[in-house]
Amino acid sequence: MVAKKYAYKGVGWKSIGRSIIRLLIIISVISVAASVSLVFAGQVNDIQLPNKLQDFSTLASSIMVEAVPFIILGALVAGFVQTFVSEKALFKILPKSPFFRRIVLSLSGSIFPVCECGNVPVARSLLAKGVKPAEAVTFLLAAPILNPVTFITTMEAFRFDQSMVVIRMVGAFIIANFIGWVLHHHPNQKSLVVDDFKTPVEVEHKHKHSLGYKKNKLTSMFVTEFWTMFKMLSVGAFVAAATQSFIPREVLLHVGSQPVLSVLAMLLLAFIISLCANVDAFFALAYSSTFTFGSLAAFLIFGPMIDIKILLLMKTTFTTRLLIIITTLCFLMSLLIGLLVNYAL
Amino acid sequence: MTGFIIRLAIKQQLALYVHPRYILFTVSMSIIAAVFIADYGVGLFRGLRASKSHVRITLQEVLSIIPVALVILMILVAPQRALTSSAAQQRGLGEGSAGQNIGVFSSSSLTNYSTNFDSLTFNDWITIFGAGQFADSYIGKQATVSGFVVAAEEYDNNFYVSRFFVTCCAVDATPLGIKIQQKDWHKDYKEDQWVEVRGTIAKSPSGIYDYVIIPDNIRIIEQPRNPYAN
Repeated sequence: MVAKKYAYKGVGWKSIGRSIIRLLIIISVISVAASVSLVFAGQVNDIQLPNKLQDFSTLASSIMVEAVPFIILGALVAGFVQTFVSEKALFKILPKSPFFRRIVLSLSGSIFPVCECGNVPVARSLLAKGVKPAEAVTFLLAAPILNPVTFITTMEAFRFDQSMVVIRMVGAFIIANFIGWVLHHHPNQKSLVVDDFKTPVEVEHKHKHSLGYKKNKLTSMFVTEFWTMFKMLSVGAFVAAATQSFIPREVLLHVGSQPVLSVLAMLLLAFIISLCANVDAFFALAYSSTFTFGSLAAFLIFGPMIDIKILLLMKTTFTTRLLIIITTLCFLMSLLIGLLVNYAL
Repeated sequence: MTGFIIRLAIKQQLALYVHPRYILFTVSMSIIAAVFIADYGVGLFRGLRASKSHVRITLQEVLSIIPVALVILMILVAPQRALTSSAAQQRGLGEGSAGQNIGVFSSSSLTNYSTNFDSLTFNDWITIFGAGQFADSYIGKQATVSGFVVAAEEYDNNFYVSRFFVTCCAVDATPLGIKIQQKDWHKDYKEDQWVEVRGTIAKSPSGIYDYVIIPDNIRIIEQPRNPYAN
C-alpha cells in the first residue's frame, strides 16, 4: 500500500524540501482565504440580531475561542505522548500497585496543566498505551483541579478565605481516587470503554522509526484527536450558551442563602456552565456574597469533573453506563463535601 | 475555527471574547494547529496517508457534523459584538446596588489614589463606590466614566453606565454599573449605546451606600476596542 511504503522511507533532503514547498503553498492559500473573508465580513457585520440571540452567539463563540486553544494543547500533548513515549518508559514511572498508580495519576495533572477539554485526548492516549480505564478516570477527574495553574487561581480568587484551596484540592483528590478504587473492582474493565476506541492500538515495531514517520504520525494523531474533541465541543458550547442566554438566573440565585438548597443549586449550575477549571474560581467568587461557602466549594469540585461539555467529550471514549456511574458518585460526594463545609465549618 | 481565531486577532476583536492575557496563547496555539492541519490536509491530498478507507456514515456521524456546521455558520454570519445590555440585566444589573457588583475589586488599592479625578477610570470609581463609607469623601467631586447604557430599576430617572468584568471569557462576564441620575434619559439615549458621562458625585436618595453621578455632560461615543473592564 502507498502508506506503508512512505512509512519506511527515510527523511532525505528531498522530502524536507518538499515539505517546505508544501508549507509555503498552504500559507499563501490561507492568506488569500483570510483576506477574502475579511472583505466579506465587512459587509456581513451590518446584520443586527435581537439582543438575546446576539448574546447567545457571543457566548457560544466565546466558549469556542476560549476552549479551542486548550484542546489544541491537549491534542499536541496527546500526540507527543503517543508518538514519542514508548510503553516501557511510561510504565517505569508508574508504581506497580494499582492503588499507588491511581494516586500518581491523580497528581499528574501537574504535567498536563490544560483545561479539562484537553485532558480527554491525553486520557485517550494513556488508555491506548495500556493504562487501565479505572486509572484513566482517576486522572481525568483529578487533573483539571490538581495542577499548579488551578491552584494559583483558586488561591488568588479566594484570598479572603484560603481554606477554599485546601477544600478543593483535598476533596478532588479523595473523590478521584475513591471513584478509581470503585471502578477498579469492576469485573470487566473492557466494558467501560466504547468499542471503536479499541482500534487505534499501535503495533510496536522492533526497530526505530525515522523522524519523518514520527512527524507524520504526530500530525495524524493531532488531527484525529482535535477533530473528535472539536465536534463535541461545538455541541457543548451551544448548550452552555443557550442556558446562559435564555434561562433567567434569578431562579438559582434566590436559593443561594439556604445551606442545602444552595449546594444543590450550585451543583446544577456547575453542570450547566462549562468553565475551564483554571479560572472558574473567579466565577465562583462573584457569587461569594450570595451563596454559601460550601456551595461554592461543591461548585469548584464538581464543575471541572462533570458538566455537559465534559460528558459529551467523554462519551467519545467511555460508555454511557460508566458516565452515569461517575456522574452520580461525583455528584453525591461533592454534595457531601458542600454540606459538610456549610454545617461543620 | 483556527481561521476564525486568526481573523479575530487580525481585526483585534479577540478581546470581545476572551481576556486579553489569553490572546498570545490563543493565537499561537491556533497557528500551530493551522500548520498541523494544513500538513495533514496536503498529505491526504497527495494520497500519502492511508485515510480512513471505511468512513462509517452512521446517523451519529452525520448528527455530529451538524453542530460544527452551525458553528461555522454562526461565526460567518453573526456579527462580532460584545455582550449586550440584555445579558447585563440577566446577570443582575438593575436589581439595585447588589446587582451593580461594586464589591468586585478589592479596596486595598484605594490608598494610592491621586486627587486628579479626571484620571480615575471606570474601574476606579467602581472600587470607590464599593468601599462603603469611604466614598463619602468623594461627594461633590467630578467624575468621568464611560460604558454602555443599561436601564435601571427606576426607569424614568436613572440609568447605568455599565461594563462587563471578564476574568476568563465572555462566559463569566459580570456586569458592573454606575448609576447616573438623569430624568427622562431614554428620550435621548438607547440601551446598549456607549456614552461618556461627566458629572458630580452625589448620594442617592434611596440607599445608604448608594452613590450616583449627576451628569453635567453626556456624549455618545464609539465602543472601545476592549469594552470589558478588566
